[in-house]
Amino acid sequence: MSVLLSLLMAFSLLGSGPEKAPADSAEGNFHVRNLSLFTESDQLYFSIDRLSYRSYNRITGYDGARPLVLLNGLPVDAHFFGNLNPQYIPSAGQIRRVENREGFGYAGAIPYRAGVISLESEELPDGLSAYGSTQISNEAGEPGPWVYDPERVTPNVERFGPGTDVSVNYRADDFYLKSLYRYHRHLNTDLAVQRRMRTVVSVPGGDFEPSIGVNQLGMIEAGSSTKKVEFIARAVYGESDEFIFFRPLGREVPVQKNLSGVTLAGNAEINENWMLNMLFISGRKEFDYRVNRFDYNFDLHQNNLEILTTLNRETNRGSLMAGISRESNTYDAPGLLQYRTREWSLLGSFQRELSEGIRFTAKSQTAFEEEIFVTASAGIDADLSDAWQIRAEAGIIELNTRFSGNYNHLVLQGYTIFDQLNIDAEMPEEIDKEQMLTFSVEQNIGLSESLELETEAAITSHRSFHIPFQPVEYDELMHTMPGTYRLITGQTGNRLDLSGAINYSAGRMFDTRLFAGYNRTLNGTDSYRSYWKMIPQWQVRYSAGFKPYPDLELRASAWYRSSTQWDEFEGIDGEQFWTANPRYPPTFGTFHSRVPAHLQINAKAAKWFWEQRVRAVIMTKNITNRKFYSHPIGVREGFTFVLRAELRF
Amino acid sequence: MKKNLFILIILVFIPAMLMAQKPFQTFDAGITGDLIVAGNSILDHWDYTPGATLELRSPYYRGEFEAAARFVRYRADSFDNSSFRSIYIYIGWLYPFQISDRFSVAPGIRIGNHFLRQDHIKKYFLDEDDTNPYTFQRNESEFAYEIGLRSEFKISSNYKMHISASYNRTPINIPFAKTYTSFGVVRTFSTPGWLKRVVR
Repeated sequence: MSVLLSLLMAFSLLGSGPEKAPADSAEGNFHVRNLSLFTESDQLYFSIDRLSYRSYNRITGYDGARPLVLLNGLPVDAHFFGNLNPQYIPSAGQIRRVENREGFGYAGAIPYRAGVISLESEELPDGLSAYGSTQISNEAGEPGPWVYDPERVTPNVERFGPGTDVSVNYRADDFYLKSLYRYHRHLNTDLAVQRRMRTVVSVPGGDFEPSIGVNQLGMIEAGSSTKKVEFIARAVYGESDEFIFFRPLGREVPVQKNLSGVTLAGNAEINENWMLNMLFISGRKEFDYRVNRFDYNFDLHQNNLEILTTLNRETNRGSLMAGISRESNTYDAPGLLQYRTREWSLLGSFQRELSEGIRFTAKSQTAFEEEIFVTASAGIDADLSDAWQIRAEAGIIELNTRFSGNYNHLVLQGYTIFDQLNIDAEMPEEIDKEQMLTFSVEQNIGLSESLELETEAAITSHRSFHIPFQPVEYDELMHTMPGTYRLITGQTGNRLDLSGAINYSAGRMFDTRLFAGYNRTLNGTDSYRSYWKMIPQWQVRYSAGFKPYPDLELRASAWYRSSTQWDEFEGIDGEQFWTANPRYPPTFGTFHSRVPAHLQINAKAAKWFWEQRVRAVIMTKNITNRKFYSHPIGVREGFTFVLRAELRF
Repeated sequence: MKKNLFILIILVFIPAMLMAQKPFQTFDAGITGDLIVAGNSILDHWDYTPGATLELRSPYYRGEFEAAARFVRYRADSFDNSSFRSIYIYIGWLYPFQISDRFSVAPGIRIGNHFLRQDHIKKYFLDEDDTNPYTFQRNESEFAYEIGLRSEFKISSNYKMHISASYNRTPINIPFAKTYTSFGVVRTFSTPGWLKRVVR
């Protein structure tokens, strides 16, 4: 059916206008740091260590297929076993706009199946320019000079940072060159998380190793554009000594990560209406051994090759896009020798103006890999008035099992990681594809020139959905031990997502935004209901920015998220954890499988110097110092203070 | 307390927007002596010396911006080898009320980083037979905030003297709080063009 739809589109004609940003996007005068990608946008997330994040999307929740990440329109591979590490996003300069879009669609010519996080970095100035930033943060509750009181001693810890970015760039009329070097060092200030990490990396009889993580990233990008041809080439290399939260183990695993890749993208205008787009991606990810007492070793190497080409036609009344892509992945790991996957996809999208102010849109992607995966949607956009737009869309999404948490697929193919990490697992012999039906309605109402209202309602019907379930057991030394991991396949249920936002701006001096999101499970199997309880049902965000003088910017925000329940962690509910190493007197905390609701108030101020060449930023987070955590074993974040300096020439 | 501080920041900034003056036309450089007059239980375990503050300040569109560093030494008392140096580096904003031609009173807020440098590196032994002690870091630092009230007297066109009271709090594991009384002298300079460019 989808093949037919693709072909139908290929023989139709028409054009599209730019899509409006959905309600859960962020844009402001205060530009976003990589590390604040989730904490400052409206996306729901959880984080174990404040360095890697799992973002919520309404198709797969916190697991399964992950959203595509785009930086200035080009894909970035910053996911590691489903965790997004924002430090691997090679933005030269700060991010000036974050757009989150759910479900299936196309970002330009690039397809996404479980949402997209699209980032735009600051524009380069003309000529030679340089950008540098450095920051350090600390957190309330650190030890101070009391280390000398044996009754009250606490471990003296380092802080996040320093984290430094250096970028040198050049821009002419039709050419630009960007380069970036990033060095970030961090040691978790949460004593429980730090202890867990130290206990793994410290070898008995050896030194008591610090649980420091170090990330380094380098990037070079060049682009050229003429009237008819645009071309971008980007090369990235990154390496880090890191800890990955590996869900089937229920805690972090020390790992050395390497990442390298080349992305080439181009488009050429064939004539007034036709355009050719091409994308080539070659990437390599390595998960190697980092010293630890249990000899945990992923020893996984993955090569990725993706080629995509599309043909676009634009007319006054609509647009048409048809294309083809091929993606192959080769894995080398214990139990997997040169294991290769290949996927071909037919791509298509079509938009036509039915009458003035009413447009019909259809999109499809049909993937071929042993079986056929159909993803397609159709929708109507309507301008009810000059200031009121509404959009309704219905679709079907079928996901390849490779996207349903790629370790499940690799383990079924023979990867022995569960044996190496001593994880018992009950896995099905085969994993069928996942299938979801989606329906959404979006509205955008301009109440006045400075006041805007956005709403979105969506129903997702999971016809076949795979749910990983890892019961975690208590262990005095390690805090957590894995129970028997299960992939529960073929679950069904229905979900409702609602969101709304009000934006108000008074010129460049003042802007404010109120966002509210609500989601709930309407019905479903027991495992299905349990899975979605990990997502906060409610979140409300309010932010206000004030720029009283040209050199001073102030911003304050408040964020509420409701409580969540993590059934996987019921085995450690009520158990104690130690917040210090056994070497000095510990303090104790208690694990809970229910993560409480949280209200967080943040404020920041920035002062420019030297005619906007140097900026000093002070960020304070969680001003009320109520401990915040988003996961039962995640960091307990208190009041945090970040000092940041930026230079640009 | 911090929530109240935040509200205070907002309230203090709002009236400041209503009127404006030319920013950074002059700058003041000065030195201040600081005496700790009260504090929490941390002061029971160290002997503290009078401190010294080096400060720079300049008129902003409204009120004054300041940047400064304050040095205080804490000598070991209850615990051996526990002496440390304290350096509080901060920026602040004060809002002067002119009482007369020569006399003004200025409430203000300061935020900054409080650096603590230990004289000796502490090693923690689990027991007497412990051969692999845990070694602590020599340096520690933490966010700190301060609220204060400054009364200032203009001695001449270029010189001013002031007496201040301020309350400083550092939210480390056991909060570090103290109240200072300070006395200082500042000299006013015309801001050179190059410096105006840097601070604007």
